[in-house]
Amino acid sequence: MIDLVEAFGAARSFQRGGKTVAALAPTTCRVRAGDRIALLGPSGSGKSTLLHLMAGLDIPSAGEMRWPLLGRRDGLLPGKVAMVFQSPSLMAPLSVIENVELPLILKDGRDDARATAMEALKRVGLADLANKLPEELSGGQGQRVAMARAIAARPQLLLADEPTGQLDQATGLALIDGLLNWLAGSPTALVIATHDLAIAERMERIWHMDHGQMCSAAGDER
Amino acid sequence: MIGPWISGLVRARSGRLIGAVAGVACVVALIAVLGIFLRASSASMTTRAIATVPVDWQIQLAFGASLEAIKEAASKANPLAKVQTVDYASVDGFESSTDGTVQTTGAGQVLGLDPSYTASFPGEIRLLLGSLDGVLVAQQTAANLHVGLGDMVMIHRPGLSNSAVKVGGVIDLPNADSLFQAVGAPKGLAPQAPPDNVLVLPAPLWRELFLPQKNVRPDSVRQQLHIGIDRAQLSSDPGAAYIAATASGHNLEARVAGTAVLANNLAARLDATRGDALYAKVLFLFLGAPGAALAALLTVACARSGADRRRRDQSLLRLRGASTRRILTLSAVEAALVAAGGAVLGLAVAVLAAHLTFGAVLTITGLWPWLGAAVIAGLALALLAVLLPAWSEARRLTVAAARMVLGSDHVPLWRRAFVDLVLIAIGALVFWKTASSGYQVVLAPEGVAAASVDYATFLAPLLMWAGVGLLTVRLSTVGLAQGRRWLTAVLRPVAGPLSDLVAATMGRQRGRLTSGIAMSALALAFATSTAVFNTTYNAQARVDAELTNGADVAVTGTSTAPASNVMDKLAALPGVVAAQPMQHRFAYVGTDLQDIYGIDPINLGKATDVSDAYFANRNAEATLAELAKTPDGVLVSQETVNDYQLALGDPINLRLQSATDHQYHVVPFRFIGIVREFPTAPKDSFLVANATYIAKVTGSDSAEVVLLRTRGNPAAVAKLAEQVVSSLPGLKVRDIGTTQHLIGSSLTAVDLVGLTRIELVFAVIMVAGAAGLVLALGLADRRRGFAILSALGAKPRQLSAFLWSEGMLIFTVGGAIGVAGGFGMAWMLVKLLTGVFDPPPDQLSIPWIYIFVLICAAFASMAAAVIGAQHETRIPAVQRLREM
Repeated sequence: MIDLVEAFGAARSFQRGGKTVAALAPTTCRVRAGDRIALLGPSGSGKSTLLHLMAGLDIPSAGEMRWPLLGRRDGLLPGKVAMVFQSPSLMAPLSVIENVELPLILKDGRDDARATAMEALKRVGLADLANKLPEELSGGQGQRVAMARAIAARPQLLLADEPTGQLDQATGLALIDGLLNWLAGSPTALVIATHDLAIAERMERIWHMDHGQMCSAAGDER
Repeated sequence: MIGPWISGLVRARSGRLIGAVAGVACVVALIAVLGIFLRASSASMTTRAIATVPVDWQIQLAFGASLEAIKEAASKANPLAKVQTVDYASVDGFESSTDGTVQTTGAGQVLGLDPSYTASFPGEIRLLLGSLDGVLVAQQTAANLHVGLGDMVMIHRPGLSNSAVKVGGVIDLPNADSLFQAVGAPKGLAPQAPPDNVLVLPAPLWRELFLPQKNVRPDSVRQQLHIGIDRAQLSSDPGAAYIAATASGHNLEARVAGTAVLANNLAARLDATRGDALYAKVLFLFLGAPGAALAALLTVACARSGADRRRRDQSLLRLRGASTRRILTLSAVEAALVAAGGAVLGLAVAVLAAHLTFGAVLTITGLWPWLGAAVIAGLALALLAVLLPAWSEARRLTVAAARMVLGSDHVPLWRRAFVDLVLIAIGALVFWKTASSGYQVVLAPEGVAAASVDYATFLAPLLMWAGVGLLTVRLSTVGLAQGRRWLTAVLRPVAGPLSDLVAATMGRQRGRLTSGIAMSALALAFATSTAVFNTTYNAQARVDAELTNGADVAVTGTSTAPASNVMDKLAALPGVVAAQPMQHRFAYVGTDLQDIYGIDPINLGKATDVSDAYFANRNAEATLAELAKTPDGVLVSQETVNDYQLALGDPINLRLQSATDHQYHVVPFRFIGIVREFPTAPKDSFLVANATYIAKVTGSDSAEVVLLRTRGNPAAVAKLAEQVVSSLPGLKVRDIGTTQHLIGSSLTAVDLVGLTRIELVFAVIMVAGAAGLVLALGLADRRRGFAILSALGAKPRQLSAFLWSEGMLIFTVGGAIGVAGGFGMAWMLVKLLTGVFDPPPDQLSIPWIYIFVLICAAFASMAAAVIGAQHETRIPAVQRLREM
């Protein structure tokens, strides 16, 4: 099976006040279609950094990232890869439906963007909030809209960076369960960064991370 | 905590701070510059107003009065600078015999002057030919007698034998009206015309000839003291100077009652210019106040554009336990920073701008209150823009509401009450009422010490400014809120497939956008109205100069030395497009001697512009055509029509001087139209007729004046013309620029030039601020949105679509409303301030090039803001995500 994304000794470091901070140690891993992976680790363990490298939002300081099945890095977003963030990431001046269709229009200005977006909202159970503004939603509703936005374009790789970080555990678990349900049977690979073990245990594989190091290698089974 | 707060503001909110400081600085600078300008012009207003008064006091002594006693009384009434004794003698006429003919004149005047008179009062006598040392004959008298240098003139003394004198010079008496005024005449009496025939003798010769006449006919001889007072003591304000000059005149009259009477020329001049001085001050309010108000609004708008972030900051502080008092203290610190920075910057800019315009400014008296007022205004503005919103929000804001990014959709009270339409309606009503009632903005009745400004007139433009500004906000708000479909269509060329989302974004962020649109509109309206008013004023000043000078270059001679003698040489000069001769002679209408101009009505327009406004029927082409086809036709003034009850086509007999016998003979003319103004013509009644007819009836086809239309710089052609006439005494060359400078040195003109120059610079700066700064600050506040778009995969050109769409909307809508509004305001201002124009304009003069430059400047500032924000959006999304 061809990998969606491969990391070969990919590392990322930053300069801060004259010092070099290693956010991610050289890491080798791969994600394939249909994978359900949790990146589990405390804050500052490098989870977000790895997700950003996978999404093509960042470039490794060392090593290499490849997307054999997805193509070039600058063609990943929007469409092939989608991300869900921890903090509210909806565009405040746009309504719920407009936020969901945004990546579709950014990609290729599709005429059916509105219909596709509404379909995604129905899947997450928020069709009746289509014309609401983000400031009128609860935290959980906002994240569900963000997920609807992510799945509307039927991405091949869905990366979620602490999507339940600002929610209570019950709401967070329900959100993840819903996500897994929406993606059931879909070839979309899902990688969730979380510090919540309960959420991580819902994934097929768990990659432990700590202080920028991946403690379990790619392909580790639970 | 204040220290870290300040450093945090400077580090993280520098854009907002800079915008607010710049806005406050604009207000402070504009008010300070206006104040400097007002004080600088006021300081020299009296001096400029009385510069053309040749003799301040003319004291006529009664028979038997003591000259020394009168001099002493005068020195006690007011410090004196110059004193001259002038003797007047009335004679029965003059006679000369030249070329075998004898010319005689009617009654005349002979003056006796000390040799030092012309040095003391140089404005009274202008030498045309010869020397000032001997007997001088006035220009018109010389023409009447057909005498020149060296000729003998017989003086017919009443009661005595005739006496002959030899002409040593020919002169012009530019202020003959005041020189020969009836001193002590009752007020309200019609001014008497100066004598047509005048000789000026050296004082010893006059005494030799006319002291005997005094014994025989004491009523025909009189003596005056011509006095120049110490003007340094006069107030710089013409109104106050008028009161002082009048008071000292009354003081003198009280001292010399029964022995002398006074003609207070100085007070009369100040009386006439008080209104002009007030107009100059009124102009500041009409043209300057909107600029200061606009700068204040711009500052508030800039401050408000960061209101969302400020609101979030405040809610975060409250979440962390900060009390309302602490929050307000921090806001006060920000306000103080803005006020201090704005005041220092504004004052520095004002002093520099004023220094470049007027020279040294800090020594001007009465300046510091204005600077203080400017600083106070800046402080008040900083409090209004920063502290007041913080206080208002702290009082009623909940944490949840503070999280709201877009604000509420609450319709403000002014929109629900249609305040904008009400203001416009009331403004229009006030304007119509005042315009239709023949108002005067400045009221300075002749002879009344008090002068006043009709401040109610300010209501119309004030209400219109406010109304148009609010209406722009209403139209923009409604358009953005309900016009998504048309906005999507309009934005499609810029935003492509994103146009609908861009329109949705703009519709929901309409508060900030409408502020930007309204600010752009007001700034452009301010700049446009100021420019149009200034251009119209300059155009009218040029019309006035054209009327005074006659053409681009005018060569003026006399009957004995007409300019037409060198017509061919003048026409051949480089830079001369056309040359036309024009006769300037004198004709009696009844007993009234008037100027008569003989023209070629078909070709005159080649050398000078003949405006429709010159004629009562407002049709220059038709009037001149009628004159051309009526050889004996004559155009007369309205006053002449009234005096003689003329109807079109009526015959009118004039008396013109024949070149053959130099006598005045009756010549029939036909009245064909009324002329109000004419190139070189005086403000008194005058006549215009066909040059060929005048030449035929007088036996002389010479033209005293030659008018030249030039290509390029008239001054350069004038220089060449001076070389042509240099060997011909009595010919004078003047270009329109010199004339414009001379007549344009009136109070209003000088003040207006400097004022509008400064205001135009401010207007461009404010356009840049309105179009660019508000946009830039708003964009800075939306970094988070661009971070999200980048994280979703938006390409730079897609992000640009949002930016350019906002920028173009502010520019096009604001620009269209602004320029149109500016034209409307200029029209209103010209109507309201018609008193400053001479002559009043028929239509506005539009500075198209300036407006084009202004629009380009607005576009450039908008584009700079968008391009600057584009740089912001190229910051990697992952960096922004970390900041999120």
